[in-house]
Amino acid sequence: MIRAIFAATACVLAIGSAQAQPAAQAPARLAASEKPWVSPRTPDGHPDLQGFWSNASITPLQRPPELGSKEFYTAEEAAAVDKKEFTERTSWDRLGNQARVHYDMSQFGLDVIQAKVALSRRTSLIIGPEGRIPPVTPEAQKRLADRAAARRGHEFDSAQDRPIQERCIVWAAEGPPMMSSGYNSNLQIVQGPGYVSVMEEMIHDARMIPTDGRPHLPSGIRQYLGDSRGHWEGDTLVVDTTNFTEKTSFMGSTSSLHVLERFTRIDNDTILYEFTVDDPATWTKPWTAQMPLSKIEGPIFEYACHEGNLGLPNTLSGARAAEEAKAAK
Amino acid sequence: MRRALFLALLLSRVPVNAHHAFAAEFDINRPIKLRGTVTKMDWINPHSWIHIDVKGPDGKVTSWMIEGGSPNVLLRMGFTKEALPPGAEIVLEGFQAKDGSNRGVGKTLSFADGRKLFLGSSAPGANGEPDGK
Repeated sequence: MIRAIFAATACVLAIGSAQAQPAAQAPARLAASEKPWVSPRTPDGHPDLQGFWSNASITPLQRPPELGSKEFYTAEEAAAVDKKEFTERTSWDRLGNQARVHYDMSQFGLDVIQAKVALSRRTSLIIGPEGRIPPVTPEAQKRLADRAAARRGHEFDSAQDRPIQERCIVWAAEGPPMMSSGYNSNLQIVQGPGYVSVMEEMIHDARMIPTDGRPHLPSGIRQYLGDSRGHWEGDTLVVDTTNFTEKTSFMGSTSSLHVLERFTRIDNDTILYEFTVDDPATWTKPWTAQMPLSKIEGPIFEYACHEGNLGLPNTLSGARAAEEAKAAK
Repeated sequence: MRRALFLALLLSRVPVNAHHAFAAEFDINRPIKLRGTVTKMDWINPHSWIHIDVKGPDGKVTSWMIEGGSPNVLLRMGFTKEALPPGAEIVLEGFQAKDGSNRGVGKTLSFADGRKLFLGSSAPGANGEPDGK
């Protein structure tokens, strides 16, 4: 089974925004396509995005500085990079510092290369010549430094001091914008008249997106996943999200984060997912990333995180034991 | 270019988002080596737990809980709870909980004959093969 999943990933997709790249690096898949893809439609005439999708990715969010403004690998370079990830690096390598005290991810099928990965020739998920998150504003620098200083030494004081991911409230990568969750990177899209629902396996949140033109909630109503409103532009679902809380933060953002997502089904097995994030209180300019979502077989399973979250009390009791040991010295 | 690519690989990896930091729960200074008999496996999120009974040199049995990964992919791959039946003998090397309780995480986790759990398919003699194999 693992081998079958791996074989599926070996089918390299080279995709990207035709607009964003020079003609010499036109994506092979799109260039080779004789007939333009005609997206299937739902009974009410909208593009059909429904099904199960994986956003597992081996492409870094930010471009390595050494690559400068190189937005795409050549096919040969991409093959070399992918081969290294799939055949030379191990799940332990991918764990980095966490590997010192951890179980074997691959044993539980949780290593990213065991998932269905839609490969891309992009050198980073962030598009454009810079390929990196823009500098943060001086205001954001101070805010982030103050927040880190206030947290230092109090990381284990109580459950409320632990990250919301560890507390099973929302997964750090679930967004919006949605990023790969590292493992179980799966989502399910369901459409009905006037609504699109996106459910992410991590950690089992369904985001209901009205597409009937209604306005955003009043600015006083704030939600962990924000308030999403969708509309259709040709074959693309465009989702506008505002009304975040200060409790979730995307790469240091504030509750004034504005997310614009674009979902375009570019062939039967692929949705091109693009997001632009803007938060003038955090970044000096908006930035955009793009990644393919790869069709997978369902179902995805419930991730009932609270029920079995023994890691949280164990972490706190470990901290208490460490304090007692320190006091006894 | 080759050098640039190599550097890129070193510097640009996609981080793995574990549900929580294992180094905060388990103590790298408390290494453990256990051989025990499975009493049950909890197929729960965010992490599975394998319960084992370990017989000490004095014959006394102590119960341990071993933390594992989210079981969702195992389910998707067709594994069932028979994949690790009670009675299977497993061995592990890893680290004990920081609070000194009988909980641990195994860096290595295998059946007594050396086959890795799940990757090495079922326990000896158990009907635990994934569906469709």
